[in-house]
Amino acid sequence: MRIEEYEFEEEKTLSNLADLLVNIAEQIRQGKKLELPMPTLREGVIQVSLGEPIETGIEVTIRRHFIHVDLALAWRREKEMEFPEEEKKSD
Amino acid sequence: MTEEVVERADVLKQLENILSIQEKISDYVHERLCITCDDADDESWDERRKAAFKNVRGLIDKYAFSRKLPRDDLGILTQAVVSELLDIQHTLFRVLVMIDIVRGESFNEIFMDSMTTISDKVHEQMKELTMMVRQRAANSDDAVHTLESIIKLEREIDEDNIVICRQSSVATGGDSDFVCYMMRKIVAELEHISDYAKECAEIIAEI
Repeated sequence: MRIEEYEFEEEKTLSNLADLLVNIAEQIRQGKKLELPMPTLREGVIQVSLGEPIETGIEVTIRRHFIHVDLALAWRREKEMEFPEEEKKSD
Repeated sequence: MTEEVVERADVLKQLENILSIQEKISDYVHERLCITCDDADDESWDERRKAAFKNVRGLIDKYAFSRKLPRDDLGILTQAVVSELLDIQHTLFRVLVMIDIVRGESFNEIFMDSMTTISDKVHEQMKELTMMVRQRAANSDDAVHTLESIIKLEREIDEDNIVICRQSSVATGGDSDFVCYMMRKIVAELEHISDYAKECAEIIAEI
């Protein structure tokens, strides 16, 4: 069975985060695939195909000790399935 | 609109009432997740499962005091806490439902230690949070230490969660069976509870 939901949290320095965001930005500019660090996979990355329009959401919560910035992006998945028919048979 | 308005002491009492029940639910969850490893005692779980769901149902009315919140900073802070508490209980409910979905099947032993460590720490956090509300009500300085301890637990849970991510990654290579998937979901939800609990504690520190 293939997991199709991933969630990953990691502590980063500002500079590491900047690298990640720049990397994401470049991939979005190219508009094909987005590779994200996702160590729940053997490969350590997850690849998702990009597409427009992109729904965006930015949510900021400011408290005394922590500032949370949640950035949400959503776009429609391509019709072609990444894990096609054989998946269903094995279930 | 009712004219009656609750004050700080009332607010903290009401929050404590909610938290003490949520703490009980997280205890049920922790015990259940522990038992899964060494032959589940299904009969006693049936009883406790009923009790846990009853607790979840009973919580709904406990938010009624929100109708009497003052329209000032206390009201805003309380709303923020209430919002976190709703997230916590909704997430606990979700975990209970996932435990139902798993139907007493045992999780892969490799993950059991990390998972029960996390559920134990989440329960610990809920206990501390309940205690912290009491300490704040009594204006005790101990509340500061309890807050620190809750924040520390949250960090530990984060780290445990990363460990469990790696473990399941190595063990499954990204593919996994149904039970392993549910286990990951349960751990992820527990980790979210620890975030909510920390947020909650930080706001309560200001009430």
